[in-house]
Amino acid sequence: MEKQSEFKIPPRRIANSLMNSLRGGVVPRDGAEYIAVGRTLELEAILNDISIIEDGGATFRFVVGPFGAGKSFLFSIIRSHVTKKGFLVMDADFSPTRKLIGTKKEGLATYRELIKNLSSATKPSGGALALVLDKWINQINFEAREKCIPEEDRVNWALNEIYSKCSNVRELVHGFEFAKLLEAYYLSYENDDNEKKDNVLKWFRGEYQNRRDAKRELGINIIVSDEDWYEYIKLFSIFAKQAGYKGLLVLCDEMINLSKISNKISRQNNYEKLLSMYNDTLQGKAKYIGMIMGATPDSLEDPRRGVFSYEALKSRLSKGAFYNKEMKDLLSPIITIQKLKQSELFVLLERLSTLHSNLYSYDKNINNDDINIFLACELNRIGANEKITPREVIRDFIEVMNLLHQNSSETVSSILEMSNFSFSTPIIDDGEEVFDDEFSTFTIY
Amino acid sequence: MDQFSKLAPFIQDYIYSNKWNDLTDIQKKAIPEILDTTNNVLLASQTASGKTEAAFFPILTDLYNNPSSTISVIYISPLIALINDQFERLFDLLEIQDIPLVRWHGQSLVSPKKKILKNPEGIIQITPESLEALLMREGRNINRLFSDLRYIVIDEVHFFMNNERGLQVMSLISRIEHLINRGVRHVGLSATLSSYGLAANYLNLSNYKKCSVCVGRDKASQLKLSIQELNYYNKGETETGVLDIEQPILKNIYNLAKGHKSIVFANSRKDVEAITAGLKDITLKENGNLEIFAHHGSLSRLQRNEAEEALKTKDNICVGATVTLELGIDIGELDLIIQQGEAFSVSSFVQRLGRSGRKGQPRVMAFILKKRSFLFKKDPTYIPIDLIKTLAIVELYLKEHWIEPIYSMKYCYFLLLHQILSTIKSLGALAPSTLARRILSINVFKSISIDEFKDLLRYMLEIELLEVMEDNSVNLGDLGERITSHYEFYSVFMSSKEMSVKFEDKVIGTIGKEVRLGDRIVLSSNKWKIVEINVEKMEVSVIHDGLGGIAKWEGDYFATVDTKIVQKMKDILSSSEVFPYLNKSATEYLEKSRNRFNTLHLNNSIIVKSDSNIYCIYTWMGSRELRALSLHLEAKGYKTSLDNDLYLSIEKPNINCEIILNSLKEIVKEDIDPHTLNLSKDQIYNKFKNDKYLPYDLAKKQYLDYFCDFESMKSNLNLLLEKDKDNREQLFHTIY
Repeated sequence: MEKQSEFKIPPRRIANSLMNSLRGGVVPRDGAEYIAVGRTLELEAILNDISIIEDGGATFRFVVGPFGAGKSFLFSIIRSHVTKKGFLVMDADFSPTRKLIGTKKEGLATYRELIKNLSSATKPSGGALALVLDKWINQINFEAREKCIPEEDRVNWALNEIYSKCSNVRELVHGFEFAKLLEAYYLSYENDDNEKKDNVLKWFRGEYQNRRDAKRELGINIIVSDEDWYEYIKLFSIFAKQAGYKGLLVLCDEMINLSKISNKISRQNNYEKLLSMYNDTLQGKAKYIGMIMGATPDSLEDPRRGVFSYEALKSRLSKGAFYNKEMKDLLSPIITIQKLKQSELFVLLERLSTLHSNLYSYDKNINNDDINIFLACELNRIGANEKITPREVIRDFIEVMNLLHQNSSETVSSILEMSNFSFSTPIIDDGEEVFDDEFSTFTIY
Repeated sequence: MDQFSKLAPFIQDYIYSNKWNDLTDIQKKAIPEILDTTNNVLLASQTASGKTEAAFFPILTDLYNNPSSTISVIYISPLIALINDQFERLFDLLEIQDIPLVRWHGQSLVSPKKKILKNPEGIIQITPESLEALLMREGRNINRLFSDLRYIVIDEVHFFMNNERGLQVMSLISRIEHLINRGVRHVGLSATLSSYGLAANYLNLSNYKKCSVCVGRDKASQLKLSIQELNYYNKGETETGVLDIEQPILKNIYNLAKGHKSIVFANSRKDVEAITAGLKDITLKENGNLEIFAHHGSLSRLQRNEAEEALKTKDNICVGATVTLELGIDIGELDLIIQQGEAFSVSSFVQRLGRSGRKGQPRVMAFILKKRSFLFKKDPTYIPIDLIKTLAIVELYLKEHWIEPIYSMKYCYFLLLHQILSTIKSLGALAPSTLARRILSINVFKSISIDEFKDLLRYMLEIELLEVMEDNSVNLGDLGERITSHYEFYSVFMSSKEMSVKFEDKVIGTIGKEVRLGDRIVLSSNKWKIVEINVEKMEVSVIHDGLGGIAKWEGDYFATVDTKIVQKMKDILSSSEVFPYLNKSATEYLEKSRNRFNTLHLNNSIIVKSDSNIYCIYTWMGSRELRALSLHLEAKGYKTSLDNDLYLSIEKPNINCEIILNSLKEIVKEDIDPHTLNLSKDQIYNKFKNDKYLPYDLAKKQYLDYFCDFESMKSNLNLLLEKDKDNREQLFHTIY
């Protein structure tokens, strides 16, 4: 990882999806590491966390950077890196409908998103839940074979094993009921009872509306709820270990959406939840788990609505003044990342041009001067310093490359001067559809 | 085709089993409009003609034929009492079909609301304020609740059209329709109006559908009307707040009311208390059995319910009320309506009159006015406005069937501000483009420009109602968060904070904050003494007391008079028509007023000198025009005073009629943009809810738009001055 200046060309499949994601303005779920620039230190810190998690510990980090610093990009790299090392990774973006806790089950919505995006090395794009459960069963059956348990005793042995293994888990909330759930899955697997299997998956996905249904269909008396979903994430991390993974990494991005909550009490409730999650990792109540939260500086520091408005978190996180914007202290719970410098942007675009020519099999037709012309043009747009993020720069650049590829008579400058070339503008995610109408270009100032 | 047979079988059964003889006229007319068209529908007919059923029979039939998968109908009413009333009327019918009916207002049960949120189906009955709260809390849930919404039924359209709550209703409906991505049919219920164009426009405001208008036949019944002037001497009323039992006005009201069921309307809460407490005194003295209640906005819900219940069930009863009883809760048939004090608008007169009349009996309404002879002698310009205005209003309605046209606000920035805050509270931080799209496509705001919207947003950012987040989305600021989390935010009408008045742990009502220990007040027609004040809880405790005193309330309303009424007043004064419904004293009074009118040459003169430097300008214009004129005159250095419907009194050193006349001519000729006139903050602020958060220019434009009419003032003034050419020397008249 340390030698990032050496650029490896990704396989065609990955290059293609990479290009499509970037062109659509989204962070690629796969292959981001091929074009990543900088971030060596940050990744090192995370790798350090990973070894703690592997040893049964727990970690909690905030990755803090302004819009356009590449947090989501970094998360994508971490995900693919860590899954390849044998970890499970869950990720979710907070949004107006996904928080840590809320009156309309916004906490549960985050849990469901996390489970939906459960990724492993073989399922890097999410949806790995069934795979993980099946792997866990194989693991138990494998152990049974290792211990030479006769086939007629295997099921009983396995069920015993589940309960004894869950005795570790029982010190966590709901451990016993959780064991019952695993028992149900094991038996349904044995009996080829697909309906029951689906019910267990449904339970894990947090789709049971009430206990009554769960009791009727699975015989267990608990469901994942808005208040206690985090308890099940902790259980899941231990379960992941038992299924043969090294641990679980949970990535939550867009923490700005917690600071956006416009009701003070509701905001505080979310920070209170955040605090209890943070404390769990410090106090050893959680095992084999790492949490990483992506935040902007204001969503952390704003004295009224940021995380630091919650005194208990402020004192814990900013203790010893090791939270410093300039100096990088990789042991601090807060890792700050800076906006990409122009030189880093340059390297990024340079790589993209190589990738592009390689993907579409043509001779690279963009040189360093072209990239400089493009960057100057892009960064000189009104308000660019404040508002433009790499996302828009990359989108525009791919657009330029596509045009150039199809019209070989043009040059970068001539394309930028074309009247029908329009620069992209940052899209604000407010949970609304994107419209193209008289209001699309509305600004306050 | 027979309309009855179009209705769903369960409704037909319901009608049979309730032994109704026939559908009413409006009920028959509504069926084809609702079932056979997709228009908005306005159902107008007088009180107690079964409008609720007229709307719901065909609506429920439609839903019976095409069931909805979400909440199907939102019924919006201005009054909680009305919702409770309608609930009783609809409940049995809906129970047959197992259709949930949920009352949704500040005082209704929580569990049915929770149930319908979980399982959205059926009908909700809601106030504008609760609908605002629902939208704020369930912003991201609206689609699930209402995606298959079919009808929005708006009750008391004539009331909503005329005030800020009606604008709020239309804005809320727009917001729901945007959130579910389609327009819904609107069904409006209204009292009879003189013209239905405006009401239809109002109903169409959010969805651009066509509107069918169904007007029910009025019960043709005779009207018995009288206007009585009675002597009034102050017998200590200004101290006690209770009309003295010897006061002729009170005696007269008592004699009219006893043995009957009646409402006495008065124009202020203070007057209602004075009358009802006085009536109690007389009843006690005469050992009578007339039951007396008071009903106004500062009485507790419980007290008002008691009065309403008594009106429905008792026969020897008199309820004193303000506008609160103008709106349509069904209170049964009344023998007569008494009004103490002048009528202030035709529409209010019609509403009050509409309360009267038993089946087959004539409608009876009596105006009781105070005769203030002493004023007549003192002031040479005095003409008793209450009598002439009441006459004008009655005549306009009876002879011309005219009712005030309604002016709906074009520049309602106070509501714009409110809806911006509410929308962000509802949906969370929004991109500026989303905010603009969500807000500016609300039809109520169609006259407001994008630049004005930006001005407002910037100002809101400056005073921290809003703030911009790092991703450039707009969110509530510190102040915005605080004001939106208080329940008072849900309403858009001005209400002053008042102290609760408690007797033995029961809240009777509220009074203004200016109270002292030992104060005596009359409230809910009883006399009390304040024995405890708890400023923190905003509460006072009272005990019974024999003396009484005037309770003070802040902000009793002010009325706007239409030019047509003032001109009718002039017609009445300049004619010699005799009005048979005036009592002898009132007839004499009218004669004296006409003499005064002639002595002042008011038929042709417009300027009358009343004091050394004070002149009265008789322009025969309505209040909006007078305000506009006053602003122009102030800009020319005159001091003006607007406390009179008939004239504008002005003052300036060293003026004469000639100078004033020239000023008036200039005003007509000069093309001064009213928005460049200088208005003080006192003039323009504190007129609408939250207007203190508006930047000066917008607050001014809003004020000028709603309270003034410059165009009409100029054309009226021009007409007056035209006469000048023919009859120069009579145009003004000096009395001293």
